[in-house]
Amino acid sequence: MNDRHDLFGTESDRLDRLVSRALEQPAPGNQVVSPVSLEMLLEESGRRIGRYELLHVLGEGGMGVVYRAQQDQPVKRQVALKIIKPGMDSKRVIARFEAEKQALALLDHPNMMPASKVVFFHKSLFRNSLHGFCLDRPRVHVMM
Amino acid sequence: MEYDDRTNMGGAGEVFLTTHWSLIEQAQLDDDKDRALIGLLLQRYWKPVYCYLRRLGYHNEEAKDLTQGFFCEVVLSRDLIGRVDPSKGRFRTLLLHALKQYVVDQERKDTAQKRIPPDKLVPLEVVEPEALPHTVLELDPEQTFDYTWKTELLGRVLSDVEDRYTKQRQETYWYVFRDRVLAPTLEDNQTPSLAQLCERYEIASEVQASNMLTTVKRHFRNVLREHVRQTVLTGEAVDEELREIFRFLGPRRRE
Repeated sequence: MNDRHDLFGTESDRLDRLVSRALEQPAPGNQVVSPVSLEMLLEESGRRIGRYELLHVLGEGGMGVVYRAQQDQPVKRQVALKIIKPGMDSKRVIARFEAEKQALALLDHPNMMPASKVVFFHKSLFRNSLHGFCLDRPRVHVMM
Repeated sequence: MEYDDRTNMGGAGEVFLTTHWSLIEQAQLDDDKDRALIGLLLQRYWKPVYCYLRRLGYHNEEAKDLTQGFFCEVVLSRDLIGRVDPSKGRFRTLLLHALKQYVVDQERKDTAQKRIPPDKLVPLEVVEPEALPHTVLELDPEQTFDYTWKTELLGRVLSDVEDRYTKQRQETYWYVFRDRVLAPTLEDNQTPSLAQLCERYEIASEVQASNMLTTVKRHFRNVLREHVRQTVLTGEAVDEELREIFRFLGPRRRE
């Protein structure tokens, strides 16, 4: 039997209010996002995203965080992995992310790194939808 | 998160669910599982049944005997599964219907205690005061059954959520949810600000506290759906059941 949360005797409308508040999610405009929340999510995922094991943070921008990551398959190498922060995955931000990748693909300079891959991780892989692209050298120079 | 309860296991298109229905079917095939099953069903459903009987006017001991008798004689021994209406699929609804019929039958029979084999008796942990709470006394028997079911369901969900964060040594997550959602609603406490919670639990920032709260809420929703899902026949019925239990979710929209 459940004694810790014995709600027997509580008014029914109060129970409804409880569930209503518990199910309430912050409005998109009011959602609080930060690298902290991303860290919490990564802790829960064992710090792995797909085939990439996150090693440490290389840098942070307004809408994403760049990690040094170890890739195991199909080849072993270290990559830079940029992840959009939870809550920033609106169509507008994703479009901006795509444009950034396109711009990187057109530019060729020894001090810049080419974008090698765009990965859209399925929501079920992670508790929030995360989108990232891998850069094939472990240094970051992302044009924002 | 929507649950994907379909799988190719057992053939394409089969629904793979562990529901209270499937547990009953297993018990009917294997006598040894009787006692374990009746223990589980009693744990989940004894209180709505017992409170329903109390609101019908039975005294404490009579209600306990009838509760025992109902589970042993009706839930297990009769063909309860055969009464399933797939279009509804609610265990709770069928149970209440069977209970009403059982009560009518018992009006003409001996007490339940005399007919139940001693090895089938499971002690009911009825520690409630003999007088039911004022909230319950305002309800009719059927409303009492639903209300009690609802409080038990929510109690289990909250316990599961708390357990998860306690086991993971993330008690602070639970405390933030408890102080920000539970206590203000149940005890009329003033809702603490995120800044107050940060100070109270030494959380680094309000952003972190807010994210903790969002994380626990998401888990609460998943656990609630999972518990309801165990009592219905199809994944689609979960939303309908939730709407019926919690009226604020609104009636089902007609297609």
